[in-house]
Amino acid sequence: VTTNAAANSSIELDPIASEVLRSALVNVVASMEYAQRRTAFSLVVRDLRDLACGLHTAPEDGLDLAAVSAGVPNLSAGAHFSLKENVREFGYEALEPGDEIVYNDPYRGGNHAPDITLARPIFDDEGLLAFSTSRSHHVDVGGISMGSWPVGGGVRTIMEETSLRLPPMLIYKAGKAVRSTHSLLLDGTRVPALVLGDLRAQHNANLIGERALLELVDRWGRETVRDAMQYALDYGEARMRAAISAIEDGEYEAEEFIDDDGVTDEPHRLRCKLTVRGNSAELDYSGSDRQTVGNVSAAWGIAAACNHVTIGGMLDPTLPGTGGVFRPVDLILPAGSLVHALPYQACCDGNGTMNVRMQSIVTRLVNEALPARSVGDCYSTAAVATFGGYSDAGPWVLFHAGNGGWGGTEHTDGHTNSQASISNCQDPSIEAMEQDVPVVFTTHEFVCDSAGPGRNRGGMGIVYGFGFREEGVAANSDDRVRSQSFGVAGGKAANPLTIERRADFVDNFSRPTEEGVASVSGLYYDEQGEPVFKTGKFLGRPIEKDEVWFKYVPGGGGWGDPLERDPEKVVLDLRNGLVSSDGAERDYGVVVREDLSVDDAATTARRQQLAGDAAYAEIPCPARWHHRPLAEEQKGTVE
Amino acid sequence: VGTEVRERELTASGTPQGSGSLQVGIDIGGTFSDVFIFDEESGELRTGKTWSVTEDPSAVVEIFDQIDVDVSKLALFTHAATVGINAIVTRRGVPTGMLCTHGHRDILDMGRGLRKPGQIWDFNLLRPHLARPLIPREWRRPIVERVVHDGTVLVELDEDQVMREARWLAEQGVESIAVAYLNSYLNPTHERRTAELIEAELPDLDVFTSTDLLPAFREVPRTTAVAINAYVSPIVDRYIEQLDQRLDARGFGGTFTVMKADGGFATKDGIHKRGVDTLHSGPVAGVSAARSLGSAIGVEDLLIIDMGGTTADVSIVTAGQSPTTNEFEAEPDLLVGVPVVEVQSIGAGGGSIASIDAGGALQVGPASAGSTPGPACYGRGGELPTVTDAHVVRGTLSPDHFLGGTVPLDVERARAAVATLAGPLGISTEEAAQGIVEIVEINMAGALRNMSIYRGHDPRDYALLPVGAAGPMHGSALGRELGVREVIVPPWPGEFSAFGLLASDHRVEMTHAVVRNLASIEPGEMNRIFADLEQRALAYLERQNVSAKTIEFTHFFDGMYLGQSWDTRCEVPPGELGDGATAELSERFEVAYELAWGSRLGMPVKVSSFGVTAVGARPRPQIAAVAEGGKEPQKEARLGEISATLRIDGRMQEATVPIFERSNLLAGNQLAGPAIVIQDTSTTILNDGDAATIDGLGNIRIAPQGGRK
Repeated sequence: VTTNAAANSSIELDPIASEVLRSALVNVVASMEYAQRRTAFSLVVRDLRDLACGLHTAPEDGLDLAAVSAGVPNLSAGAHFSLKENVREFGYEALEPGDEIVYNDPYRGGNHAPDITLARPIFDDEGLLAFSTSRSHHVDVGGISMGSWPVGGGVRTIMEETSLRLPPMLIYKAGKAVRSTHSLLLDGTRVPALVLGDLRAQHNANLIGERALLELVDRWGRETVRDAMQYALDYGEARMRAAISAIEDGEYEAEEFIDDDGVTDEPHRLRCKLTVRGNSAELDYSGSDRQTVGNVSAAWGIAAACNHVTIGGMLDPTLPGTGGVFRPVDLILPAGSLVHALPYQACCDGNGTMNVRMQSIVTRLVNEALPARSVGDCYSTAAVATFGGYSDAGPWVLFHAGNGGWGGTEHTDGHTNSQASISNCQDPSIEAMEQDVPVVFTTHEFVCDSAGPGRNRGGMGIVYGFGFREEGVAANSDDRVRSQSFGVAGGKAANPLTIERRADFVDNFSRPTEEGVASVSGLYYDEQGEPVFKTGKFLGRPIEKDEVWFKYVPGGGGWGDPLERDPEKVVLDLRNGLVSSDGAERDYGVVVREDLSVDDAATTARRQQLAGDAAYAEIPCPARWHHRPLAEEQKGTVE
Repeated sequence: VGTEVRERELTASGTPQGSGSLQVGIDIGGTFSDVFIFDEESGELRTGKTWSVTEDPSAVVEIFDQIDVDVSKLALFTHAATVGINAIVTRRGVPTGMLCTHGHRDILDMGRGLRKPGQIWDFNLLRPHLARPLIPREWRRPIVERVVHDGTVLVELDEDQVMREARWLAEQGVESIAVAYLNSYLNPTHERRTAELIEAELPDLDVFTSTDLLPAFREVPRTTAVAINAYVSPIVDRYIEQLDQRLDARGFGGTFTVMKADGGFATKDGIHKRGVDTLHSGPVAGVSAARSLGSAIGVEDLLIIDMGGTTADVSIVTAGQSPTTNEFEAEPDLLVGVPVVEVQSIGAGGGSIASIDAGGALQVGPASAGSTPGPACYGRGGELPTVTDAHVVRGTLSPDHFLGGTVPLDVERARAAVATLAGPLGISTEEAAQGIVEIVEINMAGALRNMSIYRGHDPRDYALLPVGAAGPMHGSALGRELGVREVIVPPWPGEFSAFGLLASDHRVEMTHAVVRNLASIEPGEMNRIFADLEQRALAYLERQNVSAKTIEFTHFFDGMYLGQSWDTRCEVPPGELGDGATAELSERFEVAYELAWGSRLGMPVKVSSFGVTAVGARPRPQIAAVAEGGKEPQKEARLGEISATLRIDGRMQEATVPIFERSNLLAGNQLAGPAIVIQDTSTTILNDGDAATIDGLGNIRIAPQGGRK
């Protein structure tokens, strides 16, 4: 159980000075983030922007996250929990000016092992005043798989196999780099130059944060700055309580499933109950399945970060990211369950698959509790792939995170091509990636009929085509293969995730993708009509030279009854190749003439017929994607 | 109102002399159009302001009547046109199609994927190009062709398909076509062949290729750049052509130039089919103005904040140079790609609305009351409290002198609006007004920090230039907050950008993408590339009648450490590169990287492109000296006193504050804060403790008094 009881406010700041200083604190973390990004070395930090910077109160004030750069929500929020855990264990009394500690342990409140934090105590003349933290996703922290994100592979994975695990340790002592700690990190990674460059950038961010905060202390005085940090927390709490108050008191329950854990083929169930009383709330995961044997369960730190940020963001997108926002919501994360992996169960993909699935279940709860803010599910899979091999030029690795569609709302069709809100990283350039790896990106496009139909449809699913000019191996972590991203308020689900492969990509450059393909991941029917599930979580799958792999990342769920969608909008989507004419009739009941005008009479008739059709009501559209029969040439490739 | 202001301006500054000696800059803004006139013979400068006209070339020419300038006496007319950006904002560009590499049809809709904080959970907010495309997906046609990472052709161009798609697009009513293929920056033959085929058969279509506009690495900016360019260029070209004809009809015999966003300007020929270069040129003109003013007074390091009614634009000049960026977005995730002088905008202006949020905190902006209904004190129906209202309540904006006294401000309405915030906050109306001002100032200080400290520049080395109608009201406070060396309020803060239109040079940047290890490039090859780029730049400028003798070239390369993916610019020494040049450039890159990012990494360097900047310098308007006076301002400069609430010794106090008339202040005059200096289109606030001097060119130079306790 993590409880965030309201703090007693004892601040003596006028409302203007409070707000001015709160902005000043936000400026401090913005300066840290900028410094870190501009000095970072890896593409992950510099281009994907997978980083977060925070300012935390002193130990006697609770070590709370008072200001944070909010670019990557789960990484930002996770700083709150992991700092408390690591500083308390290390002992803040042992820290001196110029010291800095490093940690990444998921069992000590971390998100997952690749996310390494550097935390710096900030002292003024009178003593310890605050902590600054800088976090980065590092490209590789060792373990059995390049990228340290091994999911699947058919065997149970324990933490120590997957990556380095760092308890809180000094990485700077009195301003000097601690050699032994650096050696441990650099020897433990396959890419020491990138890790070192990114660690230095984190250190740099902390130095900037320290300087900027001490300037504020010079100007305003120590106690005023401490009060301002407390105000920033109280302000966040007030905003969150105001947001919760919009929900009627009550209990709301939801279920969600992950396809599998990459080891067993079984779906795993998440259950969560949202209880709202006045301006407080509780999320209770009791009844969720026990932790997986595969590397998919969430450590408690990422679970706490994800749930707090998602319910806050769902209720009010403009909330500040401080720890104060977490206070009005209590979380119950049963130990040993999917949302609280215990040592030594590997839990890297807790920051991937389970992360987006927790966003899905909280989305379901808020949809029910506050329909005015309801939204369809986003593509809701980690969409993480790692391809690599050895070419004449040396080893190559491509780490890829795909995007898809977001859910529709009462006001608009869903957004397309951003990462799930909980992670929010930037797309790297295809031309840049092609410079570095022997891969030709054959396809990067919206997928026809992939959006969840609705009065407002979901955002579009996206297909990624990877043409391999060298042989290699693939690792992948995906979900929503068996389940689908749900619609809301009568809206329907989006396409499931599939991965397919085909030989001779250059010769087949522009041929329709349905010809000659073999399945890698997906849910299909065999000859007896029995579903065959091919997991989206695997390791060490061989890649043939000149092969192309297509990954169809799902769209978002629709909002409202698709039979109520304005037929003109359906025609516009048809013109734009976002729905097919079959899809228009099958999913929306819109009949279109050859000149692309709507046949009103036929549409009315078709819609009336579909409205009374039980089969239509039950189809989790888009129908084209649901349980496709296994083609003849695919049978031999079931693995 | 505009007419009255104009007439007062003219009465104040007299009628221009001579023939063919006038330089005029016109900057069309949202509410007002600013005019700056410089007489080359007499050295006289004057300014004007008219209510903005629609961007109809006839209406623009009529501005000359309003400001009483004879077009036939113009030596130079420079214009910051907003016709391009307006076409984007209103989605009234020409019907445009796009041909793209098979499998990559959605680059425009996809952008870079990132969401900004505050938007991450806003499911109702779509990327603008998804919601309102410039080029709808239907008109983005995939073409079978593929060039790969080393410039070799993997799949040949399907020429029949090109023509099928082009004909179909023409039938749909498309007038302009953008061609953007992957990796074309390494091998432009497919793009050029596509354009050639279409132009031969369908000559009425305007065709634009991405590599010829922006031969740069990375598909998103190159594709969005050519899409924007194809969408706006025909409109910009038509507008400039018509304006040119109307000027000719009035006997114009001078040079007509258009401001570009890279800080230079170009003639009609220079921006032909390059309308994207004109976007954002208004704010950029302010940076040129700052560089010019700075060089006149020997101050080379400047921070600029240009605060108008809706936004504040922040920029920087370091050692007389202003950085350019290739990450400027016309809209979120819609990159213009071409180099743009770095100007960042935040939603902080005189019209920014103050409110109390769900957490009970006072917030200012980014919503703005604009000019209609405007701040409550305008009495035009606005009831929400704005920054301008807060100044009226504090007494720092004199209700009798706004826009030269032509627009009386309603103090009671301002008080009533601000009082709606004071109650819930449990403070007085005056305190709420002070709060609005201080909060908008901390927001602007954040933007100035972003431009300086975060990039390794220390504001203590810089002078702050507060411009725009509302800037000088906050310059003193911002100067203290940042600890700058001094604050300089130029003589015409309200028309500063228009001054910049007369203070720019002909400029062009040409680049050649390579994407190879620096060590693998022979000096001879670099020399050939630079010579070719110089030739292209020269041809471009000579087409605009710029004399070759006046042109100066700078060589550079954009590169990165091997394994990185973002560029750092590195200057290359002029002249022929000899043996050993590669090692020298490597070392120069390390220095440039350390300057930009704070460390050197001692690793191999990869070049993404070589480039040449060519500048054809033009004579700058010489700012006339103001008459000398004593330390004490003359009697005519004193307009009386006003009662204002200000922070004095850190506490809010009511004080009697003297008001000065700017046009009657003389060089050498000294002013002590608190004081208020008014001029027709701007008010300067001196805070308690400020010591200001009027310099020889009429600038108010404020030496701020340390930080606030």
